[in-house]
Amino acid sequence: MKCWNCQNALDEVIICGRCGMPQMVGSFNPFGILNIPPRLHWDEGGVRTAYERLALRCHPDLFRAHRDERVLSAASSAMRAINDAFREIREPVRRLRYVLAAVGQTQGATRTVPASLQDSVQIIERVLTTVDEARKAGDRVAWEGEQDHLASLLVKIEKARERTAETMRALVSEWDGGVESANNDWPDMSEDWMNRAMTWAGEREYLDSMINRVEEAGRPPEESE
Amino acid sequence: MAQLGQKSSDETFVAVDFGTSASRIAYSRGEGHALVAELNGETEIPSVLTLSPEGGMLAGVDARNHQAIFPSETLIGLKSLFSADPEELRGRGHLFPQKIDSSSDQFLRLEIGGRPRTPLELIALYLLHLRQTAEVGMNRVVESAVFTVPVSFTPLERQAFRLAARMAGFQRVRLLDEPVAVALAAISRGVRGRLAVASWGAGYFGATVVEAQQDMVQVLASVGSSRLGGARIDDALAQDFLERVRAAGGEGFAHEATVARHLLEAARHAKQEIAARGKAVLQLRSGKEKKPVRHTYQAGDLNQWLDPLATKAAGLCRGLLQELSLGSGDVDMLLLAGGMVQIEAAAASLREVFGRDPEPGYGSLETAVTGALVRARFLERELAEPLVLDAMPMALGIEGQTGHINTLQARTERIPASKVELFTTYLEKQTEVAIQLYGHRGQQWERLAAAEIAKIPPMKGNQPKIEVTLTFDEDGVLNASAREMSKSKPLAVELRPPHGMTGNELRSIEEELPPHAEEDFSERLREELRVRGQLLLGTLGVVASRHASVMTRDEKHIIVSKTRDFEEVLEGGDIDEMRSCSRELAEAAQPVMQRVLDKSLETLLR
Repeated sequence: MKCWNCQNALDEVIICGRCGMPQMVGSFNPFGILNIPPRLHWDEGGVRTAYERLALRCHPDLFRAHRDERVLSAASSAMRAINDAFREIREPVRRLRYVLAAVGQTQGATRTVPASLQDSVQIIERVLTTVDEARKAGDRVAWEGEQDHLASLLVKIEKARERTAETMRALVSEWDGGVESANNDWPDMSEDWMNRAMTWAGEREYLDSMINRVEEAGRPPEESE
Repeated sequence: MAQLGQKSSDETFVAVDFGTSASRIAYSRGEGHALVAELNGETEIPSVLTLSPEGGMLAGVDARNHQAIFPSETLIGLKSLFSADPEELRGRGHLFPQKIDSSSDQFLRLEIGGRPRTPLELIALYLLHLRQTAEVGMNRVVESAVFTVPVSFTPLERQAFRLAARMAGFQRVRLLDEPVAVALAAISRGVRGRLAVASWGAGYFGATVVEAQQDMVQVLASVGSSRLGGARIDDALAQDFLERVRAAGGEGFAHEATVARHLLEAARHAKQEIAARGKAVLQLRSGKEKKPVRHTYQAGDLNQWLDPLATKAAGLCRGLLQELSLGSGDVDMLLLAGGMVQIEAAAASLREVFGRDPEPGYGSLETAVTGALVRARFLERELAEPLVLDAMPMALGIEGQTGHINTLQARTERIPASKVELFTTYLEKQTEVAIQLYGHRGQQWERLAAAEIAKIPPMKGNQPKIEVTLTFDEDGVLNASAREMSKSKPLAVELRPPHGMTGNELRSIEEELPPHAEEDFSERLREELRVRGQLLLGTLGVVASRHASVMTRDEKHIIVSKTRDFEEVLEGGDIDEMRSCSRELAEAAQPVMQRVLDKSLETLLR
């Protein structure tokens, strides 16, 4: 790849090391854009530091004094890619999800109830339906009557989510081992890893949606504006 | 090849705070800054516009001074027009005397200056006044500006606002959310850390949390509302008083629009007076024989209107902290700015949410514009200022199959950004799809726009793979593009908001703007000074014939002599002479103009 401005061969996807011009990117690879290896484990601030360094070199506001439309639109496009990359991989769970989608393995990941919650599904649905109806009707008394149930449901769901975190830690360290043996490139993972990752993604999806619903249900009914 | 750090002209960014009741313009001067003043010396430029049916236009100080004479030709609260719901404006009755054109449900048009006009056109005319005032005041070309905007301006309102600025002759425009501007004012004084900021004015409420490091400021998230502005209290107070006048048999008095305009002004003062001293009196004489209607408003009355607003503002802030997983003690500093936070009860509701007292020294009306100047300096590569990474103006959502709204982009994401989504058709040979987009500004999901995709190649239901790319640029303006994945040609997308112009309508107006002409600046300046001077002379003529008694003999003497000086330089005079003569005349006339306004107010209200 060559720089659009000075034709120099690019070392970084997003900016030219020679003339300092931001670049438009063709394909979206967040690790490549942020110029970091495709590892899943990062210290607090690891991805963020890479993001901030690039923002300080590529943001269109750095180039506005030029009054050159080509430069501005290149910078705008580069910064968009940097922000999109940061959004996809700044946070560990979303990072693993991104990697799974990129290797084509979340197509079939449907919401799955974790084994530990199988027995409680019916109770959960019943409580949530009652609360939703109370909120819709603006019935504060009925809503308050269900709050104890909601609180204990939330504890159950959070526990189940902690269990998926253990699975995630294992998936992450196996993936990162693969990245290391592939010399900081994308690894080829075993079918077993893929299967476990799929199960994790499905369960996690279910649990996140449940937590959203419980939190939604926990907000008191109020008359809208 | 482009070179870094190169500037092609001396023309540099100024900062403009376009407020609901007044606007300010700031520019860099040496290490510090200066504010642009109107000819009479005022730096608080009233956000008021008068358009006469004969085609005359007044703006700023002149329009404010004339509003009692031309109430139905004079618009106040211009800024809120982008967010205004036609129904709500109609509901304000005499307090909003302009006729609302009802021929189009699609968007608001006001009958003013002889024909229906869109908010876009009206705001552009006012911004033109600001630009010309800046050119006269700074004696240089002004074509680049950083504008503050409310957090709650939707992406389409931002697009319309940026277009209005371009129509007014601003070639380079950059937007900045109001609370972020306030944060920058503090950061330029050396403040670092996690700052919570609320900006609460006559029209809008907005709050944000930013993290300030040495060389960059990151906006973590913002919330806002166009329904919590302080002008709502003025309206409620004025309406309440009008009810009392009617109850006392005072209906049918002449010049209702004039009375209503005075009443609004009086209600605004009364609000501040109740906040400061606990009570205020409103009085109206509705005819010679009738005895005056009089009512004393107490703190309790103010609270009745303030409390619901304060509760909602506090709720928005609580939601903001929750979204960022922050507790009330997790911010290093609280900054409060805008007219509303001068009211103790309003400030208290925010203090409680953030668990700390606001930092003193940021309450002044100038805070936001000086903050916007920090970005203006940065854009000129005066790199001592930090880079600001903005966040989404609102969360973006789409309606899923169950009617539940799914978040596509959270408020915590940075802009510019893009998001790609796949859609399909469900009917055989369906060629059009409308995707409902929603925005969340902190309170609830609101309809933002429908993304209408047309001319989809006819296929079986569920066959087309339509890839829609939603792009937010640096100013929070939304663009949508689409394509069917088996074809290379892009599909046409139209963004249609519930009120106001569509994305394509705005874009086509922008494309039809006349090309930027490099006219002779001194000729332009001379013309502007001439027009403003003649306007002032005309006004003084009216004052002299109708309100001669408000002038003392000395004042009359000075005005007559300054008028003579000014008339001498008006045609063909030196620009500097024209400027100094018109300024002297405006300054001499200001106390008289103020007295005319006060006097017509006094006869109606106390």
